[in-house]
Amino acid sequence: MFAFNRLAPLLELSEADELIDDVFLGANGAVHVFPAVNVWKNAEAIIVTAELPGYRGEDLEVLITGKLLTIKGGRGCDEAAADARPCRIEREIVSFERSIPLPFRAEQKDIEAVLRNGVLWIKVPVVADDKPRKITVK
Amino acid sequence: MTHAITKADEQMSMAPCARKTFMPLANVYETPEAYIVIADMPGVDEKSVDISLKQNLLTIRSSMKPLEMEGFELVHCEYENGDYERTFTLPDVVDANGIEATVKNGVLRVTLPKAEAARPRKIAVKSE
Repeated sequence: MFAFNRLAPLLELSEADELIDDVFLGANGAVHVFPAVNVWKNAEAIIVTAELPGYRGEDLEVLITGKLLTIKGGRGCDEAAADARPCRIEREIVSFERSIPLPFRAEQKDIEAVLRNGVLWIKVPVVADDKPRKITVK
Repeated sequence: MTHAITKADEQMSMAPCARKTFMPLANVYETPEAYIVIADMPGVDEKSVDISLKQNLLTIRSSMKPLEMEGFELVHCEYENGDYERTFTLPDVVDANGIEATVKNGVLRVTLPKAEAARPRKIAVKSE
């Protein structure tokens, strides 16, 4: 059970650390941030996708400030009848704001954002000046 | 023996990777006439949802194609794509013919009207 490791005496401590992290960060080490995003990249652009079910286009705002991409939004309550009795509530009504640092500067006018079936898709093209340039070595 | 294990390993790695199934978060409401189930299913449209009712078990299921990003490389991943599935046990008898379902902005809404026998009836109290 407790095996003292000569080479890594603090190993047990780091395991304890992991256990504590599990409690606060979730079992897979993911930090609870909203919304969860996936980021895709190639030489021309970056694509950010986020799952935002129940949000409409007008509920969301996508902003760019220098190198910082910000997604803001909030969704309303369920449209249920006035005499509806809630039996189970798991979906949260969330107002959120999340900023994602980009590796380059971008212009607000170049950004494309599409919301389809509750998935937000944002494409940020790399500004020509920021693209890597190949320099020939003589 | 070693050979057999290697072969089994090979088969395992050759097998197509199983898609993950997620349980959608849901709100459930009850009105005197019906139950309303509202579930978050981002990425799902009306064509990919399958709803079935067996006795008092309501199952919602959906399979959707993962978002393809041709020419792009995934560099940061916080959520995964997969199928959705969840079963709810309903307390009263539901009128299976009257079930209505809609999908809007990645949210599924199922309205299940209660069967006539399960609806509350108002009894008028007469004065003497």
